[in-house]
Amino acid sequence: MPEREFELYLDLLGKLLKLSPEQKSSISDELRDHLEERFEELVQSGQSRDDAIRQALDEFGDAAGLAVDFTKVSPKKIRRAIMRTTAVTTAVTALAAFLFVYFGPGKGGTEGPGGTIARAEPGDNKPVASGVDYLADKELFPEVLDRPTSVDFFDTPLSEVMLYLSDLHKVPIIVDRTGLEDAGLALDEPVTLRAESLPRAYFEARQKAEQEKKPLPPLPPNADEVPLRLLLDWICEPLQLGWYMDTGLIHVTPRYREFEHQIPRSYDITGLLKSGLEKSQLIDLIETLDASWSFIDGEGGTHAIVGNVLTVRQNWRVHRNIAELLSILSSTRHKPYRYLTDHDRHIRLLSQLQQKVSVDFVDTPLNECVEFFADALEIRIFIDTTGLEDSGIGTDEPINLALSDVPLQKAIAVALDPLRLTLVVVNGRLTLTTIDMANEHLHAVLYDVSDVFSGDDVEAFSEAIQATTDGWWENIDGAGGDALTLTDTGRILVRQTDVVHNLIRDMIAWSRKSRDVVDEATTKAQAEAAARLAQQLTTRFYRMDRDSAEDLLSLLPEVVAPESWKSEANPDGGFIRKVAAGRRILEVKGQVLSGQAQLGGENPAQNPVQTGKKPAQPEVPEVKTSVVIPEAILVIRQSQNVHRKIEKFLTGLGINWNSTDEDGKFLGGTLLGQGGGYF
Amino acid sequence: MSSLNPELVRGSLDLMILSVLSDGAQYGYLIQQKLKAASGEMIELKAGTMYPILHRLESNKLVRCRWDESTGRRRKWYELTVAGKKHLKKRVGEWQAYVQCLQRILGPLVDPSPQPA
Repeated sequence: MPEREFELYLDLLGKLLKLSPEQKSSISDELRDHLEERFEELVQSGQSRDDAIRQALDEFGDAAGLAVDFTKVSPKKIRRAIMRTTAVTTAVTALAAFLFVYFGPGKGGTEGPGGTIARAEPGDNKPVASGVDYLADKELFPEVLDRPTSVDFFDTPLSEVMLYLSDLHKVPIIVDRTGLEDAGLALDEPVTLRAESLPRAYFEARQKAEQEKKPLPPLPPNADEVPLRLLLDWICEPLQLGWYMDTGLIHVTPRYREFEHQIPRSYDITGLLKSGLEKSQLIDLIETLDASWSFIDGEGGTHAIVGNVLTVRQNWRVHRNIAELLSILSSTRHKPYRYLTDHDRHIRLLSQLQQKVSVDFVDTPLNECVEFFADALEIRIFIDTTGLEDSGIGTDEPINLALSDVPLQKAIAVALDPLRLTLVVVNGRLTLTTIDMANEHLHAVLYDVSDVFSGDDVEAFSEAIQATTDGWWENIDGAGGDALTLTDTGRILVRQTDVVHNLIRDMIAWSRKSRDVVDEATTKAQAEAAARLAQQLTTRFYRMDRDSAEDLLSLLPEVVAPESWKSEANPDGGFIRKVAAGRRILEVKGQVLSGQAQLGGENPAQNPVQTGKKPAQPEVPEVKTSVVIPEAILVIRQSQNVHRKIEKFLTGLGINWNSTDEDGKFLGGTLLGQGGGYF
Repeated sequence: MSSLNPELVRGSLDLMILSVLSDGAQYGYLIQQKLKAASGEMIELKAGTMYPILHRLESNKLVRCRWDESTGRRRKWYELTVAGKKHLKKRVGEWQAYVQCLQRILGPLVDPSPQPA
């Protein structure tokens, strides 16, 4: 007699298979035969009907995995039928969710050769496009996970929660029932979770409705909605559950299984390598993230870079962190710091902690204090009751505190520090928890200090952070946070608590300020020195022909920077003297027939003057003439600026000159031949 | 798969199934049980693994199927085709050669009478 549960299972399988009806019914028949045989055998060996059914199905594996394998085998080569559950109606999705919940993979799981959803098919593992956004990988991080969701669960059974979410977003959710039972959880485990950041008016209206037993008001349209993935985190956490995404399905399992479920994925890092990142640096960065690696910890994932492709085998959460890291590294915009995960959300929450508040608690129970803060600042604070309980602190712990107009963070610190409690951002929400718990939730932030430090200073700064901040560091204390420097691009990846991150940001701000001061001082000093130098008088010798020198002796002080020369008004000004400097003999070639020899005249082509001789005439005999040019030296003592002006002037005049300094070093000029050559 | 390295087993599943079928026509559940018995319970092939392999062997024409309703429900029987028998013989030959080669290489490391762990 065909068992009803088997029919449901085969029915579901049929819906997931994209095959012809004959093929589907053929597979159904065959598998039904197998299930029934096994069932009978189990019952005969003494098992109850329910147990026999469950075991037979468990041994088979979940329908989803089977469907994948069968469609691979189909000669029509239809792949990934499972991804097409969007084509399936809501009813079937709900049924599927129910069935998935009921027939969740058993203790054997879906691991092992064949039938593993997690196994990537060769050729499917295409590297993610090398753009800035590695989170655009739709298979691993489908858009549905970021969809804002408003919920209001109060002691709602877990199965209903999953059905609701699955139906709301049209995404199949597979709950590992056996895993839950192993963990001592039932499908109707109550879940309480309320939508975030609702305005006070809503709370009041809601309270009123609850008191008057009236229907609850609908969530206001602008209620802050939370991305589905965070919501799943918040639902799973108190139940010690975890979840991951694989081949388009959300799997909810015990937390350890979430970590153990490994997915291979390839990332195209061409762009990053081109931008100067080295492979070894990338490996170091990845190993800084919060993950287990088999070659470090003995168990966990693996990573390898071949060519321009980084291949990683890790659980879903680590893949997300890696994608976030790669995206931020690829970003060309300079961001002073960036939280790897949900940066904007994190910053918003941190700013909430800075809001001012005035309190007067006298033996007020802790949870009332928290409610007060939440109401006054219109924020949502989650109390980690498990963590508190473990520390022996109840939510009714009396608090005494009187402060006025202080930031919330400070009020919390004063009130709760003695209890070793703190308020921190954990997984996208403000959480009241123990300090020990807070230390376990470290945040990865990428700092860009390239505008403040460069070269070795970047590493030095990183070490300074570790040495001076009040936090646990792996390098120093053996456990805790970590910092990794990318010297070339002036970036540092730091994994630490927000307390330490705030200190780091302060340190960077101080450094930035003092660098500005230092820069200012340096430029000023440099400018002053330059000015002084420019004003210092130096003596230069300007050599030129005597006639020009004669003229310039009086001309220069009148024309070039007249106010800078010595005078009654300016006793420290420059002066100019003429000194005879012998003669220069120039050898002049060519057909100079008239006019004066050109100074610098080794270039007869400059101005050959021809007589009326016809060009057809054969060459005029070359004449070699020696011309004697008397020269003089103008000794000028002036500032650098004025010397420069003089040079310009002389060149503009068109005379030939050169100048040397007091040591005879040639400084410039157009006069050929060495200066100072006396003969 | 109890104590054998799954990596080693994975490559020879086809061969194992074909060899079970060399005894005569069988249906899926039976093949699974026979494999378990023949291997001294070392090979416990999951249905989710076996059926896709059987279907592949069928589409490659190494086995042929027929339906039978004598038990009251539809049952699918598999048997080797001529091509399947030849394929099996060839693969067995390959395996023997491989094993001998490996034994030569491993030489003194090989325990002359290996027992399952």
